[in-house]
Amino acid sequence: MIIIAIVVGCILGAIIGMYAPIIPYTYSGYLAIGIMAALDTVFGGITSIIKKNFDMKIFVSGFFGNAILAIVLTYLGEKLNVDIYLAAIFVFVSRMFNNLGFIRRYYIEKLIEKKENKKSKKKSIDKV
Amino acid sequence: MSKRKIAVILTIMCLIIVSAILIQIRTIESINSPVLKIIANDNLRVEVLKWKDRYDKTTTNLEKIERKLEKVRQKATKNDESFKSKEQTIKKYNTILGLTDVNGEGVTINISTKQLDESTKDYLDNIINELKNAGAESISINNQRLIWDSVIFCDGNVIKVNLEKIESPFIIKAIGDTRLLYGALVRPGGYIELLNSNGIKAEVEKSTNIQIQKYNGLINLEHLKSIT
Repeated sequence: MIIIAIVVGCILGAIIGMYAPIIPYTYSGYLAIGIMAALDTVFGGITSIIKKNFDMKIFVSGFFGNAILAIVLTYLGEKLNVDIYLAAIFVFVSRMFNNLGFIRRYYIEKLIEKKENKKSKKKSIDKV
Repeated sequence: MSKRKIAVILTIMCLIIVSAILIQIRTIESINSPVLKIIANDNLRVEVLKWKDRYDKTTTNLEKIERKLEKVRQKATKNDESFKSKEQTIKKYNTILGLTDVNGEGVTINISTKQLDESTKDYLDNIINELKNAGAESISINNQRLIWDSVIFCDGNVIKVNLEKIESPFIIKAIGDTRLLYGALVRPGGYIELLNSNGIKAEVEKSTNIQIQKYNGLINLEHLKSIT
């Protein structure tokens, strides 16, 4: 059910994204930083599912909260003439790499475990 | 939290993130026009885009205010005959000045050339003169309405009308007597024949409904005063 929900959400999002009017260039920087924050939260969510400490409330609040905070910080940075968005990008991307690394390691270990299990099963069948 | 709730929340989040990514991609793609690619300096490019944004916003604002003004005028002249006639006079003079969108029968001329120089300006001038001689009431080149003080000028290899840069293909629209306008252009020895013989592709099309946009610039009169 959850996978279907994700697929439906992606398809609907693609349709809306294709036909929605484009935004003015001035605001495209803010949207980009918002997207980065949201993606970071998504990967964080997947990692916490693997670690079995996933909390929906924290996930949703992180998704919107991080995006809004990043946009506000970028706006503030522009007003103060400091490129705060660079710091935000650095944090989000490094966290994304960390999380991706964790997810990758987890699934590779799982795959190797499965193969070894199969091998040991085969051996035990051969012995019998 | 039930599974259904989680599914709904995930659908909404996926929808937001995918649509945001696509909108961002489309915005960036629309910005990378060939003209802007030439501008290598990124800061300058950002500045140009910001000014373009501001210009677009101001233009839409101006259009809104003009519509409002039109409504106010209509309201004010609703119950008064003398005001009504004045309103019609204003409309008439605005149309003559080129400050209103107009339509009517006429011709469309399509000229495509790779060469942009003084000769291009000359033949555009000649065609406009020919159209005016044939009684054209309203003319535009690439949606730049020609008004009483419009000039076509050549600045290096850039052709400008109403101080706005125009590029090939040139689409000249003229409203007037279709038969006269068409005849003036395609007559033997006329300008269309001359252009075609010089290797410049030019075509004239008759139409019963040509729409010409209004003049968007400012009309400044510094020295002219009316004698009353």
